Amino acid sequence: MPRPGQLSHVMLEVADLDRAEQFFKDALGLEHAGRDLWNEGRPNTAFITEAGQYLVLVEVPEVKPDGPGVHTDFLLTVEDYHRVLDRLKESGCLEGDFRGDLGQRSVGEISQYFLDPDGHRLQVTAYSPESFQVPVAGQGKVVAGRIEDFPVGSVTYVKEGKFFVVRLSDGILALNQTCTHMQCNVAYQPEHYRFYCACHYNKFTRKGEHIGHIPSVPPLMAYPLELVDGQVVVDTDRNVARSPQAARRMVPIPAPA
Amino acid sequence: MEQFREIDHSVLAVNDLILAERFYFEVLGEIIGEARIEDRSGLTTDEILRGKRLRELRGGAGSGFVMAPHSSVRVGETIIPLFLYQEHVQEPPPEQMRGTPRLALTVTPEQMERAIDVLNRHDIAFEGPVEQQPSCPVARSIYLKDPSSNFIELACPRDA
Repeated sequence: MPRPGQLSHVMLEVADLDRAEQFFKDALGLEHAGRDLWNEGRPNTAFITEAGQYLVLVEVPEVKPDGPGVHTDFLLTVEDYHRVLDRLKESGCLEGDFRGDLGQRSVGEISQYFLDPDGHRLQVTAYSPESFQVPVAGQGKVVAGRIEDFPVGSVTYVKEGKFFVVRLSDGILALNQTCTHMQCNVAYQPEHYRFYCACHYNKFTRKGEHIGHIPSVPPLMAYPLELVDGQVVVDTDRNVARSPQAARRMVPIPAPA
Repeated sequence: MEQFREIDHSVLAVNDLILAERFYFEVLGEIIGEARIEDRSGLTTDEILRGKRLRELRGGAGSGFVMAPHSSVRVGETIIPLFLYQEHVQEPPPEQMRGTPRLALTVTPEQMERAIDVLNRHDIAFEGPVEQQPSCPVARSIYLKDPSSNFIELACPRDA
């Protein structure tokens, strides 16, 4: 049974109940719950998810077309996702992953859109364990450059180590490029003095503090940074998680002797 | 057989993003007790009002997938993505409260009671609570429509 505040059921219109039922049962593989469980005044058939939510298909004389972007997404484990995908491939109804093509999928998130026989757009999605942890670049200790290479106010992307070097008046910082919301990559927007994530529109200050409407997103992860003989050395094997308070602090730069 | 863990989300097409956000955030949010606006498609309110297209994308020939301006409201544990539909489409008659397609949220008996108050206060028409037939996993329902005439249901499960 779904929890209060969760989806209870989604009801879709279909032109041919047998055809639709066969597709959702055999090609998609949803668990069939029964026919005419609902009193809709029309023939209907219902499928159930593990969470106890129902997909109800109602036979109507004419199916109204869906608006742009309309779709319904089902969540699967990674193993089940691949099995379902193999079956869907055989039925030839796959559409692709438009967001994925735009780089708007996070690390470990896999997704696929497809069409049912009535033209309804559907989606299957799975998240692997790495979806829930911010990965490190894993390039060992990377020399980003000399301290003079990073003038005050600059944000520099270091491709070799996949991190940003941020130099402000109160110090220097190396930031992991991975968004702490859903593990997509952030981009620096110099015109707004902020980092931006295209997946869910999260924004971060130059120190990596989260700003915006999605609650509880922690600051961007930092990498340990040290100054060795004027060189900026960044350890890309280890994330430094920072509280919102700690994210205000930077690595101080000693005044020249 | 694979386990379909849950229905993660189901998108609604709306003809006014601002009204839709307000309906799901304020009205359904008050009924469920928790709501927030998420994932607005990088658009300012002004841009949404002007119906500006952020981008139109087609994934391969003729697939017709369009990234329309959109927003997303989370009501309780349900993410409700709202996509702007800029074409005029035939709506159901104003007096019709129940139809398909439809999105149903799970509510407790207390939330259903509160819904009656909240909907009356906002002057939103609804039908119910309606008792469902014994075979239905839902015991009791309230039927209503969002400002774009999408059919919405508040469903109290049988064993709640």
